[in-house]
Amino acid sequence: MRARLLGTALILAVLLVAGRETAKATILIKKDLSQLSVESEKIVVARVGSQQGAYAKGTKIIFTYTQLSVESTLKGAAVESLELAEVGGTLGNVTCVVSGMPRFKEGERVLLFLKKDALGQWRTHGCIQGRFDVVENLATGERLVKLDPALGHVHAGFFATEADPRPRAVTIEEFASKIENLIVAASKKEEGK
Amino acid sequence: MKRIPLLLALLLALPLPLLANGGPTGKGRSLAHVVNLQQSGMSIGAPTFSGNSSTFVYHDGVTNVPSLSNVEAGSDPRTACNNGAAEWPAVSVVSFSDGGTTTTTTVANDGTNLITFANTAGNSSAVGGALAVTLTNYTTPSFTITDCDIVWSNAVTFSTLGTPTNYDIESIACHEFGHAFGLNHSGVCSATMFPFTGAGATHQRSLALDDVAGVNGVYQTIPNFWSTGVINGTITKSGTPLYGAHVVARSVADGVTYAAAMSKQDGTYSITGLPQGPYYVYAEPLDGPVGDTNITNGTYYPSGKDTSFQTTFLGGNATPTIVRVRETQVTASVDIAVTATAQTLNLRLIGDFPTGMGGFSASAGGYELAPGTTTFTVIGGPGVNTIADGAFSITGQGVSFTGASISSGTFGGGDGYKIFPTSVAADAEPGPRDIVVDIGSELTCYCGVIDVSPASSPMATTFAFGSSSTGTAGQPVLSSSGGAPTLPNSSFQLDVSNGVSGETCYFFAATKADYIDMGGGIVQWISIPNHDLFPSAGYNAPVVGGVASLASPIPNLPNLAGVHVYVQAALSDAGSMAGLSSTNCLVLVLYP
Repeated sequence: MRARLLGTALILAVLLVAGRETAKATILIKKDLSQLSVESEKIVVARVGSQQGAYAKGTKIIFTYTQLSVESTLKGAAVESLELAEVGGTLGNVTCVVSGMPRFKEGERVLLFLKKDALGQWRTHGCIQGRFDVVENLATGERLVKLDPALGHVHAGFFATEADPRPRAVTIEEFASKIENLIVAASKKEEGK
Repeated sequence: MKRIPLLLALLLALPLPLLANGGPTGKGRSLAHVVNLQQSGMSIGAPTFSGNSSTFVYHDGVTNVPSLSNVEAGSDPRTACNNGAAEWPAVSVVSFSDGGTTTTTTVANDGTNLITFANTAGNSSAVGGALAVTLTNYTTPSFTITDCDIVWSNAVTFSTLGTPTNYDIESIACHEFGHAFGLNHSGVCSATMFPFTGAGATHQRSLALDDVAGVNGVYQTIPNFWSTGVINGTITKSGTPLYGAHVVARSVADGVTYAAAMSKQDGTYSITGLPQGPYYVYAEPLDGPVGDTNITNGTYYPSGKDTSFQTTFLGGNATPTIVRVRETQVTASVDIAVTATAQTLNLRLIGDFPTGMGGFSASAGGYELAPGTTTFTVIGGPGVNTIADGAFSITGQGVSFTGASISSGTFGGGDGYKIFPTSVAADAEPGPRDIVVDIGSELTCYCGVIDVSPASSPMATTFAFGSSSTGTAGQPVLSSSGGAPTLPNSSFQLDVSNGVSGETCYFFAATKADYIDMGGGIVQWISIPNHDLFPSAGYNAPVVGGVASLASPIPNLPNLAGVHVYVQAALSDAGSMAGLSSTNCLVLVLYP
């Protein structure tokens, strides 16, 4: 009997309590898809180009600068290309290691949530949380956004259903539509305040 | 001639340093077993400090905390950082010095190792969306660290006061110094190098076993590294090398998850720093809470790890093969061919819910529970609410789910959850435990997610592990009577049941576990120098009425507190295949 009452109390409780805030050091400050969508200045689907290590302007901090060929812009002013910066990289015979930062391989196709940092450089917003691999379904030609199960806190509440509690990919159109809806919903919420 | 009691004879033979250290299984905590830099196919080591020593200076804001917008008033960030750093020299050969303060505010590759909380554009850009980052600059080909800086975010508030809404400086400093000393992130959820923490969480202040194994894997020097053993092997999927499997070593003796590593691009892995003994080894996908991108590092650990396979134990999930690890030695060719189909089970949320009433929450990371704790454990993941209660368990001695789940449902994020009553025995061995879900056709492990902390007042206890062979009268079982193995206990006695009356039972004791499979079901579970065969001259007792007993008084030697004694018995048994049968192992944990 006690267990049953306790169970009822818990069911009520879980409706009220969201997941505990966690972060990661290189512990990240946790972001979900809604926050990423709203906070990003630009969201793009892009092909990864060449990479080079260099000190950020006015600093002695090594960054890796990656050239992106933008295929579509889902938020912000459309651009054909942009330069992405991520801390860490190689400059001459010096390498700077920073664990847990997003890394890219030339030729990869990615969907990125972007925001300018304090030095005016485009960065992946939320570090690895703002980076999604884009793959092509060779049979259908559809472009799919992969949903990393390890980043479930970012996307699980937005695409999971009871029938499919752990989706592994969604079409890029579905993903874009979700982002748009999240931005609109956040905007309405802000207006209603 | 009066004979010295078995245990006393063994204990008197212990080397003094062992006694001084409180025994061979005393808990340390250390760093993730993925080191920061390894090349595919062959290790080229990790960037290290020259002479293994490091000196860091602080931006002088730490002497004027009110000037720091990201530190709670009343905090002492410098002492907390020093404490976090000091965890590593305590378990390895690395050293750390506080080199004073500087007016330099911003991280830079300038030859000065800086710790800074200052809010500058350069620092903000370097830390990005993280709480803190460590920038380690090293030169090639020497891999010597020339500059190492730790920078703290100004987007959150840090504290040393244990304030639940703020982030704990000592925990994060301990993690960041792990990076400084060459470690990447760990998939062992209670490790300091686990890549997540929560506001108010403090358990990453102290190192986990995996952390300790990791740092000693980087700085492979005497005595820390060479007093342990190594497991090497290759992970394959469908006959080809598998990159990015999380390979875990779990002790057979006490069920503690000791250490883990990640398979490299050629499928090879190396788990260093393992105490001697028998281990289970499994490979699991990095499918959360730690994932591919958490352990990605430029050229050496690129993204693209394979997570499309099922958790697979060496030898199969039903009856895993045991791996023998010996100190100073490498156990090679521990190769696992994983089940190639994608995993459907996944645990990625955990929560401690002590009251069983009111609101609860769950997050990715593990946590500590003290011996003697009763609580409720929230477990979350896709479809978890639909899995039968009987599939859930916790590994290891002294920790268990004590009944059926009291609630289940779905989180707002779509993950299912179940809540189980949980108990940690007062005499539970310290160390991380896995939560396992086994539905027969598939299993998954939530790796090292509950870490049993050392008891504030440890108590003497016994626990058993390992199999017995089958003798003429059944499987002999070794147990004890006369109370716990306290220092002293003159009534303590070892008992063996299911022996053949008229035959002889031989008792053996050691300070380390071992694993030697002699065939016919006979396994030697203890390490007896120069006596790797049963039986030999030793302590014996006649089997009377199927039972053999040996009085084993525990001496009054307080310095033995914490020592673990591994005992096993072999019985002469003319009717059995080898003329011998053997028992399980009984572990005696000695305390006053």
